[in-house]
Amino acid sequence: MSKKKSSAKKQSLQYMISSNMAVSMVIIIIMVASLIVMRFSNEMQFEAETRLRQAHNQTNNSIDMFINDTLSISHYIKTILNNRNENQSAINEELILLKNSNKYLSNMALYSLEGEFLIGTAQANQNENVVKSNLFQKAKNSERSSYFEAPFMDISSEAKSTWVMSMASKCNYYFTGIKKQGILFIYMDYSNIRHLFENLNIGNSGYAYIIDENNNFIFHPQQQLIYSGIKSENLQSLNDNVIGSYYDNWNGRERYVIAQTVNNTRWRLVTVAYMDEMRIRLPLILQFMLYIIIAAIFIFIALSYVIANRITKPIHSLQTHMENVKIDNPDFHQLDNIKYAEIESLSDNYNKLVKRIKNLINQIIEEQDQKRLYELNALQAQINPHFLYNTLDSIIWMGEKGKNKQAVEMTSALAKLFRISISRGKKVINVEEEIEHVRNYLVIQSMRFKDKFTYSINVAPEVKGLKTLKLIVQPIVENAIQHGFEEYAVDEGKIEVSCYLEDNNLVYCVKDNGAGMSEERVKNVLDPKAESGGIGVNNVHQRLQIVFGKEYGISIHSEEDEGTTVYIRLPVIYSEEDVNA
Amino acid sequence: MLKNIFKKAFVAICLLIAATSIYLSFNTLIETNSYNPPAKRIALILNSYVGQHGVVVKQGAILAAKENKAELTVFTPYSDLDLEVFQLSRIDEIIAEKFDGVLLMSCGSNRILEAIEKLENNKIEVISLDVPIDGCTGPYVGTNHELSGTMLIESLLNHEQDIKSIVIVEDSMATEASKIIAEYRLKGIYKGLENKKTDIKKIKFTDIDQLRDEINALDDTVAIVSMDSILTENIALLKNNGNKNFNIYGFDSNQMHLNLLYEKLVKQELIRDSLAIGYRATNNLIAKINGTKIDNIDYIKAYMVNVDLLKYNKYATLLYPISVE
Amino acid sequence: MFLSISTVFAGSDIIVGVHIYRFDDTFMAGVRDIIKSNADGLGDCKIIVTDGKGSQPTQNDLIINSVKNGAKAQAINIVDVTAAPIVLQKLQKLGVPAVFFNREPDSADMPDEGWFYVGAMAEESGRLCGGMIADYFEKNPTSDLNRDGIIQYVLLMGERGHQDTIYRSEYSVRALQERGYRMELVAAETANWQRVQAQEKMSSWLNSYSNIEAVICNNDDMALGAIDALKAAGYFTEGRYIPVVGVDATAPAIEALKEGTLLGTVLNDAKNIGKATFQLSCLLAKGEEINQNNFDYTISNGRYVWIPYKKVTKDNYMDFER
Repeated sequence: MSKKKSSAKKQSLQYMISSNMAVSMVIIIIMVASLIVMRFSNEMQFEAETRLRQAHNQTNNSIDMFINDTLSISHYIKTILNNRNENQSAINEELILLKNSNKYLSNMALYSLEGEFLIGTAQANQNENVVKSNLFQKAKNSERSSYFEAPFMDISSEAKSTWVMSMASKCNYYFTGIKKQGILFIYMDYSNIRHLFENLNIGNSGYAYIIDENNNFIFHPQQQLIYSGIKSENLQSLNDNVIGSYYDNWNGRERYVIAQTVNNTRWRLVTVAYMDEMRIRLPLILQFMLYIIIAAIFIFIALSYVIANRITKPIHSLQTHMENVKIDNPDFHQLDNIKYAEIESLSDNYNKLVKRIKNLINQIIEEQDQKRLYELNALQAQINPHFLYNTLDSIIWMGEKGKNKQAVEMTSALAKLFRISISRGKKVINVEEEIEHVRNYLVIQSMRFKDKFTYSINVAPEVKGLKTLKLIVQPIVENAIQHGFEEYAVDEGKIEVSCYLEDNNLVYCVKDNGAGMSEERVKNVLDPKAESGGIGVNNVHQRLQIVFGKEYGISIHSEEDEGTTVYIRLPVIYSEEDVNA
Repeated sequence: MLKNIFKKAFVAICLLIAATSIYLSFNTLIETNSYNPPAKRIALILNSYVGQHGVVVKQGAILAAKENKAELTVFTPYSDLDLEVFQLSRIDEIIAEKFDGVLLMSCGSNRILEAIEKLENNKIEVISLDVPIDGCTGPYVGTNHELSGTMLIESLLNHEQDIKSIVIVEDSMATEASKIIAEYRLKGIYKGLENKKTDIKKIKFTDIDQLRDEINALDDTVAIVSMDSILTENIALLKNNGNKNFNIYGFDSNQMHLNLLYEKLVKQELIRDSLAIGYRATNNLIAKINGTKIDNIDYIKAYMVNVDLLKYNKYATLLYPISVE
Repeated sequence: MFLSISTVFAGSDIIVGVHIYRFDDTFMAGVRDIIKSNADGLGDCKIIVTDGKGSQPTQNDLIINSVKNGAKAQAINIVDVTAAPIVLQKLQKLGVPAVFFNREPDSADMPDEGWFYVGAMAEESGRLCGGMIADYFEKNPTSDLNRDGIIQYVLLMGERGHQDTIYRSEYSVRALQERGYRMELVAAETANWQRVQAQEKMSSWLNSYSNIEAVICNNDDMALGAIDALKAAGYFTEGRYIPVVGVDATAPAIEALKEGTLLGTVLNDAKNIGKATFQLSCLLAKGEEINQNNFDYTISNGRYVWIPYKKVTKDNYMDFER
């Protein structure tokens, strides 16, 4: 019952351990997991970026190879044209051969700087148009570069396929024996080229496009839709960044974009990867992590519960043990089977405590036994048969002798004596009654031991109204008579009994001038071990000490042949309740 | 005692939750593709087995289907005969296969309407492509043919200042669908010629000789409007071989006409944006299947092209798609 | 992904990014060393040097990173000259000035202002080459082996499209023509500035043609390759000799000069190219105005710093030995 009360008021140790452990583990798990997830997603992002960069580079290299092939062809044609020895028809044949052998070539044409068509596989374009075209002008202005033009529709009648891409560069030729400069145009079959570009991809999650210096699309997988105006590409962010890697947002999707230059063309290759596709596994991974974290948390909760339990088990054991302790059950045993050092010292001390309690209990029991014994003896002393016989004999003798008055005196003294002795079972009586008791005793004894001694009784007025333990003075007086006068005859034997207050203690004093006692004897008389249970001084002393404590009791001052003074000291009491008996 | 049971139960429950969690975590690793809901299945029914228009519409539809991750099945007729039977059978199949939606370029038959109703009753969404269906209230994505007619005639009037008479040549052997479209266009043409004092003459083409005679009988100062692209080629051929000097304005240019435009045999042509039609219609269909509201009539712009405009890629791709599948 | 050597710098120093098109180009190695020693000497301008490894995309990334790392000006030995306008555009967006050096962007592509070029006039090197051959034939008329009054020559060219290739090839011949010689091209091919390629080409030419009278090479590495092939075919012994000219005056070339196998070379003045590039970049990085007091070279047309070539032969190579 009391244990319930205390656990309601105070926190359980086990709960505290387990909850603290659980909480700190949960916090640690969450921290570690978050760091891991962050790091992981960073790594994923980094890896994705690296892969994209590699894909981009591969695509760029493929385009590079194609451009190099094309430039080689251009160079080859220029070499043919540069050779003074070849005539025009031979050159023409070469060009036609070239055209037929290369699936990307559509047509080739050489124009003078004024735009006049000189030689070629087809008159690819009207003269006026050619000169006015951007490509022509650019090629004319540069000594060494080749310029490319974004795909357009070639509507000449002889075009074998309509979409072309053109390339132009300055070129030397020797038709009339004089070296002249012209512009060499090479027209490429864009549909075939487009197939080449289409096959360069960067995986499923993105696409690549090529854009020239005028922001025209050389290639875009959605070119058709872009030309129709249905779709568009994020050229804004491309213009802001020019080249490099960056993130942008287009049509609500986040993308990672890499833009790089393509050799020799003034083009840029732009690869775009959709971040949501790249990250498609991330939610799954996060989910996975979440489940693992939850599992870990619950495992740790269970674990901390179990650990806390095991930690507090010896304490619980101690607790249970202690709850079952009954003071009056001498059979409970010590706690053993201790596993932990900290608990060990606790249980050691507990065991010592238990032992001490046992000892104390035994001690108390002993003391109680003793007390019972004394009380029994005191009870016995209330009715002393020897004294009774002797006194009755004396009364009979007095009656026979006709000493009626003395007989009556002795008989009434005896009656009063026994009445007080018994005192209806009370242990505590008035001081006057105790003195009365002694007086009656002395009356009787003095009549019996005629002329052997005289006595006096002095009672201080302040003791009136106080109570006292009964039958404590008479035994002392009896002892004084016995050992003082009975065995040795003394002239003018005297017994003085007094009662007074001293230091708030009630003191009885019995003084005799009898034989006295040796120091040894004095000690022996008061020794509790000596013949315990003996009626007399020892008994009174023990009784007084048991009831009132060690500072009370009997003290004896004696000198051999001189006399003995016995002090009986007890505290002032006013009623029976003042006595813890 | 009770406390003991409570303790054990608590631990057991915790471990149970943990075990369930671990089990679920393994599940996330295995299921990688169950993200995607089942793809929508749509069909495209064309009404011609050749013809650039159909091919490019198909391209647009394929592009849009890919973007929306939908499954597209294309039904192309194997000849120009029995188009009605072809289309109706396909519709029945579609109903049986429980498709989600259909893009229908009608063959022009009057039984198509009930077929569409049948589809709608089976909870299959239908969008009609470019060929208006009489009496159909469902969604339509295509050219505004009446407006096309008006556009062409206005352009003609612009280029042929003070033209006195216009000759409209119709093809009596055109397909039903073509005839329906031609009707709307004529309406547009007449609208554009309201309040104009131009003289309109109509010729119905039956065969090349008849056409030659009719044309030879014409005045020099006319402009000819051809309602049909094949017709345009015939007329251009006649112009080339003949000695008349009229300007031809035609409907439905395609890459075969490049030459004609280049040689100035044909002055101007109206061209439909086939790619956009296919693309937009597919997007609309998928949106409608997913429950989004769409416009009931979605007109896709058509354009007038002549040879000069072809240097602009925007017009060039209409005539000759850049990616030839 | 890229190799970068950086000199240690404190936070307050001005940093200049120096981007070489490839570290293993002999000539550029020399220029690079000059720039480095200039930087060490000057103290307030620190350089970070990178290797483009012959790839423009690689160099693009290096340049962008260099700006991110705090470079306030960029000295660029560009890999692909057609990419120069794009790189310039990017740098202009980033607000970082650019100095191109040794590989010249095509001015037709570039904007009129906002950039600088430090280099040698390619034309000049061609002329000097041609001049040396002309001098030789003047002194040794017997070198016209077939006595037809025409010099039959082979041409080993550098990278296609490179301005040095075009100009050196063209103007060496033109210089000879201007001196009155008639020229006949027997064979011309590119060996991409490389010795081994040149040797292979020359070997095959020696097998195919017997009338080669002169070898004109666009750089020293290729000239040395040609000499290797000639040596293997038994030339330069017993009086068999064909004049070979190259450009760059690299240390191995000077050895060949001493040896008598190389007729002449042209010094591409790495020292001054390096110094001018460094000085100019530093001034731009610091944002200072460029004038006679702080810049030792002349700027023409608002952006060109031309460093003259020098002819190097057996007679004067001592001046140029390093």
